Amino acid sequence: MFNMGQAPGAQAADLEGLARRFWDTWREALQRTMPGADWRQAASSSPLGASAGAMPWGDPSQWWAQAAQPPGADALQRFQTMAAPWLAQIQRVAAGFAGRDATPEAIVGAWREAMGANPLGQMFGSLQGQGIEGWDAWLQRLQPWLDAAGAQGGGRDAFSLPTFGLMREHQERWQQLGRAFAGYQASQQDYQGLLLQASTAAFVIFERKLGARDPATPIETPRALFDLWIDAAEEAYADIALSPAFRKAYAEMVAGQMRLRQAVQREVEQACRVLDLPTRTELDGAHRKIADLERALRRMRDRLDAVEGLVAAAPVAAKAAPRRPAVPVRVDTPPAEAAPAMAKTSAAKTAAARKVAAKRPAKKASKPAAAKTSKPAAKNASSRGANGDATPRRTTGTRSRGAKSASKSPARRATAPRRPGTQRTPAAGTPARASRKAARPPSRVGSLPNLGFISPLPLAPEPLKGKAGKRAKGKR
Amino acid sequence: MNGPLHITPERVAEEAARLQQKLGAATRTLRDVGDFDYGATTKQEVWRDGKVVLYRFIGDKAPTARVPLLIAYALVNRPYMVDLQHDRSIVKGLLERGEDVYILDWGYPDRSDRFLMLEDYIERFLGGAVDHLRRSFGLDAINLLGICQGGTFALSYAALHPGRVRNLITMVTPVDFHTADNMLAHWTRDLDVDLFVDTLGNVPADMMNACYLTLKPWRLLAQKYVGVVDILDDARALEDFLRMEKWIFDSPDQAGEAFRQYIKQFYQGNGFVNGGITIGDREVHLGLVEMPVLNIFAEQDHLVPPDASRALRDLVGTQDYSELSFRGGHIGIYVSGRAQTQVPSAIHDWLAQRN
Repeated sequence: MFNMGQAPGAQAADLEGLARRFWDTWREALQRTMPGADWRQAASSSPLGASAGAMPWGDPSQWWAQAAQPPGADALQRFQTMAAPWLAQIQRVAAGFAGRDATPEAIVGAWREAMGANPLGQMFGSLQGQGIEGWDAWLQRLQPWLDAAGAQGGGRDAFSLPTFGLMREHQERWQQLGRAFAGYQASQQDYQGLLLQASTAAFVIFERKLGARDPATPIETPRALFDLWIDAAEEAYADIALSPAFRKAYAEMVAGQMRLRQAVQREVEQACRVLDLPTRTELDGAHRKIADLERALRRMRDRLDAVEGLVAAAPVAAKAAPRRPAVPVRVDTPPAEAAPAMAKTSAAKTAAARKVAAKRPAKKASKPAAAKTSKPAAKNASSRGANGDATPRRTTGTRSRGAKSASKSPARRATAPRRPGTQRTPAAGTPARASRKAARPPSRVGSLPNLGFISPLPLAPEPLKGKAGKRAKGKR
Repeated sequence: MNGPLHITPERVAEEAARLQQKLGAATRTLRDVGDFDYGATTKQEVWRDGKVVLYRFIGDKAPTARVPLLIAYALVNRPYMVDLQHDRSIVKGLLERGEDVYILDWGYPDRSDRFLMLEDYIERFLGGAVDHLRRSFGLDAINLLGICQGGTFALSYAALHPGRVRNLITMVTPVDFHTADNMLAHWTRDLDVDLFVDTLGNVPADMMNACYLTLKPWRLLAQKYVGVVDILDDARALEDFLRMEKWIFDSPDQAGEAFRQYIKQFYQGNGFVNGGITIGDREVHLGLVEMPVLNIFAEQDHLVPPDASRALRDLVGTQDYSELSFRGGHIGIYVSGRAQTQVPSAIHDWLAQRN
């Protein structure tokens, strides 16, 4: 034990000595690894000359900045942003308790003081990216205008006053913007309130975890203390984040931001129109038309392919597949070192699983009523249309009839064109055999009112080519 | 001492010194890492529709499987996660076992793709890739592996076109979106997605990523980066970390209309369970998924909780349903050491029994 039997003064001297040795080591390391680094400047920022006892290791957050000299400075700078603040906090708090006993309350108190009351809210606030970047800054710029507008018009109610005259529509739009901003702020406050709750609960759980720690296995490193905090904070957050209140607040927060964005977008569009610039709405309109046209074209081609394929196919009675409930078969995997071995599936397993399923009536009965609808639907829908399409009874109102392997019919193959807009690039491989399975039974044209969604049959097989454009060899 | 802490000044100094040593080594390590690559296996474009590209992976030896395996990944991240690097590649493991592996790359939607719908993704792009492979191989049906959101697409496609999917594998695929532990789904339940999409058009990738980070904010925004310090002097470990960071944040924007439909039908409506998933104007019924199904999920998955995936067993119509419960998380199932051993072999062996 570090301080066993030592007077407080001796402890402090030891601590300072350790700190000084560390700082010297660090300075030497800096000189060695960072040619040109001004270690004197770094050293001057060391607290050793000022208040060595208070913070013997200096400000850990500065270590990164001091270390971040080119090359690699950019990357280190990014690491600094992500990790350095946490490392600094960990070191500060841990150093405060170094060599002395402390209660969970005291530890949590110091931790709270170091991190603030709502560290989660701060962390979320630091997230940046496209779609979220610059949002806060933009709102800050907007706020004075909104506040002024509100003040002139008698507070936030100004955004609800009737509008009239030549500028009526514009005033109404500005009012919408003001209301959206106010709504956004309110929803943000509710959301932040829940994050604060999660932070508060995190400190409570942290203290509980510290209190429950077995004295025989105390926390011995700053990092271990940090990891325990992470466990506590995640636990607290999960409780809040899975609550109905959070779900509601989250939805409101998102909606509030979207309403505000829409209001801003309207202003931008207005400005674009004034300047005779194309707007987002106009571009969207064009894009929508293109997407709709492409979709309509594909549907028509699919329909045409299906009709052509059906004409060429001979109808044969379908053989309905026997149906029974799906029962899980567990796949065994080898241990990481062992050779791969596989599953116990097959009929024997299925039979065993069927027994298991038979023993689970309660579970089946407890399934949501809606879920049960899929089974009857499945039972009714074992028939398939041409090209292996499912033709559920509820959709088509018919039962398709079978035919022999359609893929083996040259006529069918020949009638299957490529999809519109697609491009086949040189492929690799060898010609493959046709499926040993019989093709799904095609149906008569007249029995398939839903032809629009039957996709094309395969073309004649095309050889795939190997790496150098040659046919690949190997068992197929 | 009786308190929970026993942090000696020596330990504090030791940790501080270690930290400094790591920082000191960081500049050299970062210089060594340089511009790391990602995507281990050579691949060849074989089909394209707009921004969507179908690739074939080229292994060291010719495939022995006679039915191609098409991987459909999620829209929200890039598909190279399954082939991240040489020692972390599910694809490589599959190729080594003789599978003929293809992957569909959805590309990066821009504002001109804002009106793409689920029908476009499932019938046009996924269906187009399946049809291309069926034509190329002269097969009625191919093997389909859907991952995460791609698994929901694969399930939908298989239900709509059961004759075109010979064997279906789903990996970390949400099926029941309303399990109690699904935080992401919980947040979307009251979301006004119409307002959301009408405002944003496409959903920015950064917004999506921020949402994912806030699922476990302390671990993903604080602990993870504090932990990076431990590997600052290890170029290879740092490279692995940076490559993973690249994948995590290399996210496409989400086409607005498809996002709207997905949130409404899957997250809010829980359509696989309750019904109501409509692709084009055809309803999806998982009972029509009659081909063999292998469902792989991760036991510590915070994005797709295991129960959300397990629900598939009671919904599919197949008589041949298998499960693989993987000990790991949503990412570990692709890149962990255990995954490299277990996942490709499980998939290959399962397929071998059925092809």
